[in-house]
Amino acid sequence: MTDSARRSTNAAAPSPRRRARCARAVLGVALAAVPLGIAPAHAQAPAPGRGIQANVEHPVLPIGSPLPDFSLPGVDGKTHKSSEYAGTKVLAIVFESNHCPVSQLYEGRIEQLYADYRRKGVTLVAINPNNAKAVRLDELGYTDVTDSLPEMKLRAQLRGIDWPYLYDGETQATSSKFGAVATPHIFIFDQERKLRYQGRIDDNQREDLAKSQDARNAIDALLAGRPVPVAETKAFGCTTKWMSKGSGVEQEWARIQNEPVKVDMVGADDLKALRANPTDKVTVAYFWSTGCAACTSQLFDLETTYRMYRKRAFNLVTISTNPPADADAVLALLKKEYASSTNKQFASADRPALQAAWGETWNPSVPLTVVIAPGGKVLYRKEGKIDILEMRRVVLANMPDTGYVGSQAYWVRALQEAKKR
Amino acid sequence: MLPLTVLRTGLTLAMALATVACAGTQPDGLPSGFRAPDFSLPGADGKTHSLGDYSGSRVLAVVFTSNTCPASQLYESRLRQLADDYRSKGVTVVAVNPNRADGMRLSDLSYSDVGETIDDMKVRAADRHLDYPYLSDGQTQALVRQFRVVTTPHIFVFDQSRTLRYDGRIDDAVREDQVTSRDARSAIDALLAGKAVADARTAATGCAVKGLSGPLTAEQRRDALDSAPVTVEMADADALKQLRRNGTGKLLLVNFWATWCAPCASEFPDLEATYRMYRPRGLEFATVSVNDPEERGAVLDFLKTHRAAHRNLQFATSDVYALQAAFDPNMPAPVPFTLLIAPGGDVLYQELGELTVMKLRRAILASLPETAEHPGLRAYWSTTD
Repeated sequence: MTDSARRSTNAAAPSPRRRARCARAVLGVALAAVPLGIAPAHAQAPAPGRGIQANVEHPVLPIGSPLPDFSLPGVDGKTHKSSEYAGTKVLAIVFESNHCPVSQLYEGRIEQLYADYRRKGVTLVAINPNNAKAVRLDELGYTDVTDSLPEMKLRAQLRGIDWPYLYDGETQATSSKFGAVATPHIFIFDQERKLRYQGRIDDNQREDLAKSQDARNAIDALLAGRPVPVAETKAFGCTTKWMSKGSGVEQEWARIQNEPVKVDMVGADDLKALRANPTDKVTVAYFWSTGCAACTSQLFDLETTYRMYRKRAFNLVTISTNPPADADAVLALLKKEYASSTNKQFASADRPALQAAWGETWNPSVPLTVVIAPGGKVLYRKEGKIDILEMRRVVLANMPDTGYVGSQAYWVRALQEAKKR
Repeated sequence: MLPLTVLRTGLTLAMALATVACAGTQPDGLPSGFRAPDFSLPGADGKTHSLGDYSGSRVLAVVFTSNTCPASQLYESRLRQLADDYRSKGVTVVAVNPNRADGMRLSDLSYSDVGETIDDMKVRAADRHLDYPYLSDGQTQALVRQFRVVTTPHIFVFDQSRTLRYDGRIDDAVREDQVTSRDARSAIDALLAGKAVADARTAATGCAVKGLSGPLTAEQRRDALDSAPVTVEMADADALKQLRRNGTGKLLLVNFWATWCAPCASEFPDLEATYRMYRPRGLEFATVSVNDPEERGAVLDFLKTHRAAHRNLQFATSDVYALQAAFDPNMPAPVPFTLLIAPGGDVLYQELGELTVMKLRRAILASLPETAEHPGLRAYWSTTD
C-alpha cells in the first residue's frame, strides 16, 4: 500500500467541515477551564481541618527546657560559653540583629533592661542569629552595617552596647536550638536554667505605646520566686535569615550586574538644579575623575550604599569632572563598578566654570562628597576620603521614615549619643 | 453549538473528551512520504540536539509537548514510560516544546508552575525526571511550522528511513485509566515488526500552540489588573477574623507584609505574578500590611508601584499582637508570612520568611478546582515522583 492510499483510508482524517468547527474549539481551549467547585482535597494534599502549623524546621524551645549549650564569639573579642553565666539568678537571652529596624527600635529597651537588672543578679546576653552572607544589600535599607561579627562590633561601638553581643551566624546552630523566630525574640531562664518565658520584650514596637512589659514581668516574678504570669507570647519583628532557606544573595548580585549603566553630560544649569535638590530624596552628589585613584576606590562603597537605600527616599548622583573627550573612559570605569546610579559628566572642559555653577571650588584630584537634603540644605560635605559609615548615618538620620515610623529618630538619637560618648 | 457551552451544562466525561479531541485536529495534514526535517535545537539537558544524533535509531518518535498545557503534563509519565519501554528496541523518543515564551501572558500559565523558556523546561525536566531529550523550538518555531503542529501533545513516528508512518494522538484518553487504544505504541510495534501501521493518522488533542503570530506586544501583554484602581482598607479584628475564615468560596492567598520588611518587598512581584497566573481559575488574593496606621501613605505607594489591584488590608491600630491574634492565635508574628486558605478556612500551605514561590505555585495547582477536560491535575500537582 502506498502512503497516499494509506492516508486516504484513514478514518480519523477530519472533513473540511469538521475542521472549521474544530478551529473554534482550539480557541476555546484556554477558556474552557470550567470549575466543578472545590472538590475534597486529594489524598496526597494537606489533610482537611488544618490550621496554621508551628515551625517544624526550627521549633521554638518549649517552656521548662534546659538552657541549650553554646559557645559563641562576642563583640568584645572573646568566646562566650553558656556555662559562664552559671552564677546568675536569671539569664535572659535576646536574639537581636544589626539590620532589622524593629530590632533597632528595641536596642534602647534592651540596654535599659540590662542596666536595671544587672545588680539584681540578672544577666542579659544578646545573640545575632543572622549571617551577613545570607543578607542581601536590599535588606539593608535601615542600617549602616550588615550582620557580620566585625560589623556587630561597629554597632556596639556606635551604640555603646556593653552587654555581651554574640554572633551565631557562622552555623546558626544555637539559634536553631532556641528556635529563634525573629529579631528581637527573648528567652528567660530561671536559676536552674530552665526556660520560664519566651516571646516579645513588650507588647508594642513603639515604646511610647507599650503597655505590657512581658519580659520584665517574667524576670520580676522569677526574682520574687513567683510563677511567671505569662510564659509564652509571640515575637514580632524580622524573620531569622536561615541560611538553609537560600538567601538570594547571588541572584541579587547577578541582577545588579545586568543593570544598565549610562552617563549624561551636565552643564551649569543642571549643576545648579542638582545643588538646589528640588526632589524629595536625600541625595549624595559625588564628584570624581578617572585620574584619581582615591575617587574610584570610593565609588564602590557609594554604589553599595545606593543598592542599600535606593528603595527609600535616596539617590546617588555621580559627577565625573573629566572633560567630555574622556567620555569613553568614564563610562568604562562606571561599568566596571556596575554603577547603575544616576551618572553625570561635565559637559565642558571648563572645569572652574562648572565648579562655580555648583557653587564651590575644590581640588579635582581628590573626590568631593556632598549629602544634600530635599530643598538644598547640605547635610554632609567632605573633600578627599570619606568615612562611608559616617556618611550613611547622616543619610539614615535624614531620610523620612514614612515606611517605618521611629527609624529616623533612632538614627538621630544614635548620632547624638555617640557624639556625647 | 460550541463544546464549551455543552460542558457547562454538565456532560459525561467521555463526551467531554470527544469534543476536546476535536480541538486538536490539524487544519492541514502533512504530505505523504513526509521526511523528518533536520533541526538543531537546545535541550533541557544543556546540549544542542540535531536529527543526525539519532541516526542509529530504528524508529524515531517526535512528540510536540509543553510545560504549560495540562494535557501535556498528564502525558509526561506516559512519554517517560514509552521511552523506557522501547529504548532497548532501538526506538528514540524526542520531545519538542513548540511554544514561544514571549508569546504568552501570565494568564496563559494558569495550569503551570513555570513558563516555556529553556530554563523553565530545565526545571520541569528535573522535577519530573524527564529522561528523554526535551528540546525547545520556541526561539524560531521553525520545526513546528514544518510539522504543521497546532496543538500539544502531538506525536509523529518515523521509520528507519525517517519517513513519517504515524501522526496524531499518543493514545485515546487524557485519563490514563480510561485508555483503550495505545495508538503510538501500536504504530511503533508495527514498524519494529516490519508491518504497515493500521491507523496512520489520528486526531491529536490538547492545547493550542502559543506564539505562532510572534512575540506579544507590550499592549497585548498588559493585564487588566495593570490599570485597575489600587486601594487599601483599614482592617480591625473582625475584618481579620473574617479573612481567616475565607468565606469567598474560592482558594485564597493571604500575604502579611510591611514596607520596612525587605524580604516582603523582594517577594511581592512573585506574588503579583502568581495571582495573575491563577486568577483565571478563581484564585483570590488579599494582602495584609502590618504597618502602623500612621504609615498608610507608604503602604499605598508601595501597593500602587506594584499594581496590586486586589484586596489590600492594613492593620487599623498600632496593636499588632492583638490584630494578629484576631486573625489566628497560631499565626507567627514576624513578616513576611504567606498562607493559602481553602474555602471554609483550612490552611493548605504556609511559609514564614521570604517566599519559595515554586512551592507556593505547586500548592495552588494542587488545590485549584479540577476541570472536566483535565481530570487528574490535582493528583499530578500533589505528587512528585
